[in-house]
Amino acid sequence: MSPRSATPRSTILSLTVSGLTPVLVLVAVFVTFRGHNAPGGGFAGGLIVGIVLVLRYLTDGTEAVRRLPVDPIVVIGAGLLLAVATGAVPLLFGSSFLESAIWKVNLPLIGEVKIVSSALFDLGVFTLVAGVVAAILVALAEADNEARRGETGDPEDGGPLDADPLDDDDRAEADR
Amino acid sequence: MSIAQAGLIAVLFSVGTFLVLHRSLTRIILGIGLLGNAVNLLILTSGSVPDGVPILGTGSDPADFTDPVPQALVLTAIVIGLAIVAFLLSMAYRSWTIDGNDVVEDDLSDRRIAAEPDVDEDFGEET
Amino acid sequence: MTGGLALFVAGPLLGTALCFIVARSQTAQRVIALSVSGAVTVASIAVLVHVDTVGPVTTSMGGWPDAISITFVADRLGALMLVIGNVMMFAVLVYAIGQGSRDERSPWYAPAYLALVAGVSGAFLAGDLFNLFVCFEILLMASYVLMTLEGSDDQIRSGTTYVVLNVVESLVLVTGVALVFATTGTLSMAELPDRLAALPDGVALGLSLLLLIAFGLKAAVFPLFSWLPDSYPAAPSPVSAVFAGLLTKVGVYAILRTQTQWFPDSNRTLLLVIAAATMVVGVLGAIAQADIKRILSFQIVSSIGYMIAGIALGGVAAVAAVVFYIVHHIPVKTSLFLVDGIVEQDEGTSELSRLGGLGRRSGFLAVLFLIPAFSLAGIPPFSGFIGKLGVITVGLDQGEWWIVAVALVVSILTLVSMMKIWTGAFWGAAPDNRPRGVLRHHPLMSTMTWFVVALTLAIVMFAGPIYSFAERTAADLAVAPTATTTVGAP
Repeated sequence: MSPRSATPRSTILSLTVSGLTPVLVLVAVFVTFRGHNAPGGGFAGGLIVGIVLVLRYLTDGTEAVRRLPVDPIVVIGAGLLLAVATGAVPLLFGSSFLESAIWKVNLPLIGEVKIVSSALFDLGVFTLVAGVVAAILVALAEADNEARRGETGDPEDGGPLDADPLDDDDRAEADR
Repeated sequence: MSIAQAGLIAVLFSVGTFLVLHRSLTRIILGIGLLGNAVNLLILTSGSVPDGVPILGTGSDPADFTDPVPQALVLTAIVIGLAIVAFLLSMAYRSWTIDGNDVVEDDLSDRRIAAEPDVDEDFGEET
Repeated sequence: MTGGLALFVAGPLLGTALCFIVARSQTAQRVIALSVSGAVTVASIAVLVHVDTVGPVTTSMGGWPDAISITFVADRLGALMLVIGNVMMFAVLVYAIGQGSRDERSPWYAPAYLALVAGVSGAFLAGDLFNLFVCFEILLMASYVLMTLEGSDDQIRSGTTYVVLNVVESLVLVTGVALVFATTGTLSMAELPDRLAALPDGVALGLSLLLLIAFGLKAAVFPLFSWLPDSYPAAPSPVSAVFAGLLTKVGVYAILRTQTQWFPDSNRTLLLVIAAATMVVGVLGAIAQADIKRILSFQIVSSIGYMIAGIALGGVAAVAAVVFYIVHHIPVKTSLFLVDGIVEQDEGTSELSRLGGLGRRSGFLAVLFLIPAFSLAGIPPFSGFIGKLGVITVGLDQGEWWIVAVALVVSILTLVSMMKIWTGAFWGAAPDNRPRGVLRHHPLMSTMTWFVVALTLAIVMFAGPIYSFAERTAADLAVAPTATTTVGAP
């Protein structure tokens, strides 16, 4: 059961989480982009961001998701769009679906940087997974608020609860 | 496939099967998780040389290579498994909010039909 | 265009993404869903024509060589199923929009429906076993969502059974995939027949049974069918229409491919017994029920038996009959559920004891019900007759008289169960003081039902060309593995 915002929360956990949040997000981004040649990738990175969200949910309760700047559904859609579109764009250039293009760029100070179009795909997956976790939390928070308001809950709210995992699956298909 | 791997897969399969046979959705979910892990390990062993590495990054003898395809398959299967477990958990939660438990119930309508002795008579009358 | 076939999965997924982004506007979601589904339908017809006139099409993804890449292959069987599946999904989508039920108004409906389109299309085009598994997962995940979208008590209860059993099916399937890979070293559908033939008999038998269990659960054959009549009635009518028409047939399609191409001439007796039991148990269940949706659901099980019987008999003639039977069965079953949807929309129930006299109130609806009902029972001028005749002829030719006898008796019992709906819902007087007017429903609902019923009639009218196409399909399946790797792109 998700925490009720009425219950007292651990100050230690709160402080640790707020301190850790930027670090974890950074780690998530790192893991995502390192995934091209090493263990990691968009899925793992997205899950780390998901963990951050879950931790915030544990410390701040339903407030954490009410403050989200964008609707998670839109985030899911944007992630999926980015991932599938990255796969589909090569078709326009006569290559095959999901084929990856590689550019090498020389940047001052940093040296040669390899830019791979599949990094965009990973970014899409990253966004998608993070959005899915956020959507699940939003659904939990809604159910939680509803439970606290009393037993009047309309069964219609079941939708968001069950619909989320769909997108993991879409990406699974493309991830191979 | 080494004996240890085979044994682990066997244990996971049997424990998973045992859990799936329960009525409580929570146990079924745990069972499905274990079965998923068992299957993933099975895929992993399907193309592998024990202790071998995938092709990339080594210059050693091709006979020691592990086939990288199963690893790609496992990656996909893990993601799918995550989605399924997440979905099932949300169903269990929903079931809990509706009636306070997560027991997988019988088909009520079927029970009713079975308990009703006069179904055929109904039908007879109407024709 | 080297990536053409990938678009059948990528396109609907792009649509899914767009639907998520415009989640706030239902109109936008509907427009996207309709246009994507329509475009996929038109494209699939183009693929069918191309495949029939030129030859199979193969698409590899990611620019890798065929042997190790993800492939999509369209041969005659795949393309035919693709067309019929997408036409149905498009028709049902229009119907659902017309109905505008509570679950259809959810922001998750359109994305889930498009994911279903992607999964079904992908499953029919999958060129390797793992890709088939992944596409199965996409369509299953979408189906879980569609099935339980309302989140009502009943939906959750029966949805749990549905989800758990299908997850177990997926686990069995992926175990089969792992073992196939371990024994043959490939998952490509083009290479597997040869590699499997080289295996020792016992190993091949084990693999074939494992895959049969997995696909059989999906197709709802005899010992593994009990989830179907439990779960389908709980879903809203359009959803159960598309499930009833398509999802079990995806399982049958997979059985057809694996048993005819990969494990030819094995499991014949087993499949025949399964087929007979499926037919009998399904139809007896249908007769026992007292609810339109449940009767129809049990009849699906019974019809699956006919398809399995044809697959078991084997040979070009039987497989051709099965292909024709599948093609006929998808629109027939879908239209019956669509009729039920109209009934439910007006009456709020599909229980026979609370219905009656609908025939007097809407003669059109009665006709819309009778045509597919007769067709399903196999009454001569309708499409079901042709498919059943094909299976039965082959059965007689091969001396399997008992399966023929079972099939004939089951046909009569199917008619009995149909007449049960007819007498219960369309005939007689309304049970209480219900309104006598015309059934209230959105015009799109009846239009689409007409469209699907007309499709079943068209199958009769063009039975000659369709049957010869089915024979060419069967010949493909009997002769060579799908699309040898050398076939180029369109």
